Amino acid sequence: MNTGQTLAQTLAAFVCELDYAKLPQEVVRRAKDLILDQLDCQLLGSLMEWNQAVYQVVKENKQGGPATIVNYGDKVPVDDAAFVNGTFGQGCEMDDYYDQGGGHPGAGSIPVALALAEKRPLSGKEFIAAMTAGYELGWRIGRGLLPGMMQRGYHAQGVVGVFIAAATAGKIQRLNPAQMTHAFAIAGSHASGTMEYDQSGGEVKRMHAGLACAGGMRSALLAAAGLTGPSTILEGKRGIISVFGGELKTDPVIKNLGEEYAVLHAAIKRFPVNASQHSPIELLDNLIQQHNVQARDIEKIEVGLNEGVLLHGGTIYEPKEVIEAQFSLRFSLAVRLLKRSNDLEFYLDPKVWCNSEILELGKKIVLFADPTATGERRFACKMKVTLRGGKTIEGEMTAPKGTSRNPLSVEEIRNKFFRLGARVLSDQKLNEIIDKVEGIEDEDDVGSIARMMTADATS
Amino acid sequence: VSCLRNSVKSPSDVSRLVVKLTEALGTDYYMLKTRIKPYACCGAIIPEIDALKEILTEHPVEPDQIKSITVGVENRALSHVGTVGPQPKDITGAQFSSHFSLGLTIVKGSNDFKSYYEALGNHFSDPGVIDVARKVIVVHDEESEAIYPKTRLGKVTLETTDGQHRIAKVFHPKGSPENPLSQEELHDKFLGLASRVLTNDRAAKVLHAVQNLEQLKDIGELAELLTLTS
Repeated sequence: MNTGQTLAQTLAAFVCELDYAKLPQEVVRRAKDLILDQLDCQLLGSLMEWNQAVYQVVKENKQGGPATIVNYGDKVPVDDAAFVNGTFGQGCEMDDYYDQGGGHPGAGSIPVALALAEKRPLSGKEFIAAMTAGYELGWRIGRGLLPGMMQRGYHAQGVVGVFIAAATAGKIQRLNPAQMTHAFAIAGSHASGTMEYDQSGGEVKRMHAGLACAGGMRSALLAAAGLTGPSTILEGKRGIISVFGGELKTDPVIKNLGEEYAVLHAAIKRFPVNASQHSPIELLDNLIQQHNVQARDIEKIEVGLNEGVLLHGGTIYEPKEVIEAQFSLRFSLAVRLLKRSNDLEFYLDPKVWCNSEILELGKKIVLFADPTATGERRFACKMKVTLRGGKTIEGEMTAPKGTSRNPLSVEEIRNKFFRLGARVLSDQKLNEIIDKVEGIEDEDDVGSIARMMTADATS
Repeated sequence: VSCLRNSVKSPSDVSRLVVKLTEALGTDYYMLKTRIKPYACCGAIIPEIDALKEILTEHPVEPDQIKSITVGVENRALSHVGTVGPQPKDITGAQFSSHFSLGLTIVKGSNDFKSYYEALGNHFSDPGVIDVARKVIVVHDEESEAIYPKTRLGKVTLETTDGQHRIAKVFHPKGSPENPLSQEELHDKFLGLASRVLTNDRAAKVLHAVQNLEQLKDIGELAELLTLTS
């Protein structure tokens, strides 16, 4: 399609033409679930101590502006609100992810759209269109970058997140196709961030979504103000795909553009861990329940996963901080076996990290690369559990619960919303937010939702 | 990063790298190895301009006497400043084009900020400059490759229409530690750029403040001096 256009120009034209009225109903339905899911992640993330530095630095240096910081209610410039709220949104590993990998769209788009909605009144229809544009860019560019981006050690959210944010902001700012192309080209200069955190820890990873939100939003604002960038930013010799992905793949970026929607490829997390752990946790849970297995019966657990995700969650044996616990598949599976749960409390508790039973179980877990776990099966998992005495039980999972192929029910999504959100807001306030999101297509001023996200708001 | 990825393959590579990264740490100051730009373009073009100027000093030529100007560079510079070509579309392109920059050197006799900014004003359409820029050929050169990154060799061959070949090589371009700007040249650069924003009097005050920076009790005073005089 659009021969003679660069990828950025093609995607820009798509975003400019994207019209709420033409979106399939299932996209609008899913968008509402994803908004709610991102909002509860922001509320929970606002409480975590490792996100406080980001909030404090903005609070001390950037007072004054139209946009609201979640929970605390400070008014700051729009890009700073997106920086803080985006950090909160991904600040506890509970936010959505693409079902074939490559980033976290909710934390890259929704904080941006909400912050800009406080600059000028933004309708719910515009909000959904802008968010859909953001989800689309991240998914498509991610498909051009994987698996090379991950093998090279770049963090998807830092690389594709800036395009998610730029498309969201560009749509809200009503950029024309030329400006939108420049917004993407400028966003390319914000792409950054390594995954060294999944090797030796540190909490900076929490901020990658916030950085992407602020950088992508600024890219759109700068393009509107006249800054230009290279239109071949994606496929060029020194463009994003070559530099971060290695192999130049352009077809997946524009395949089925306008026909297949990225919103329907976003998965909602059930556990506070990285995306690739969801299949193995759920599969192990199924196996031990079906066969009534106890932790003490287990001799060995062999887990087959995509080669790239092995390194992402398979390096850390003995967590020394929260993020290491959340990125250790061994820890998660051992916790599942012993506690029959993967609630956040186990990841937050240093006593659990060094629990000798958990560490011993972790040593019985053997990870191997499964060459069939790729493409649509990127988060698929094969598992073989060997019991004392030699008996083995096996299973396989392609799409864990929470993906669009195996979705959470509306009730399950609301339960998560209440479970996470109740730490900050009253049930009454949470119910009001649910009503607002449910009727968002009739809302004239989405900024009112941002103002409801504060602990002392009266809305 | 790709250099590191290719060179770090084993733990012994890592320890070699650590040795290299920490060599003479705290005794050998890299600030003394920093180059100050005499021209408003990419650093890779500066040795090329100096080499061309050396040729022009010894053998002045008119633009129409030039058949070609061949610049021999190492691989990084080849794609960094050899890609834009003789007709840039924006000022960043002009500042990263060997072709256009050497065209300015020949036709305008200068590569200062003003010469690039004036080119922006006429949308890089000065026919004299473009004509010379089209005669510039940027090629890969083994000698330049071998000496990089110790230095970036400026290697220029100017061929005249009557078949003369003038060759110059510059190992230490103007502004490098081996060939530094004099204090006077540095101050001229500062005052030339600063006077586009500040009054001469204010620019002189900034210069004085920086020259006596170690006496300044509150660096905020310098920030205040850097604003437009009302």
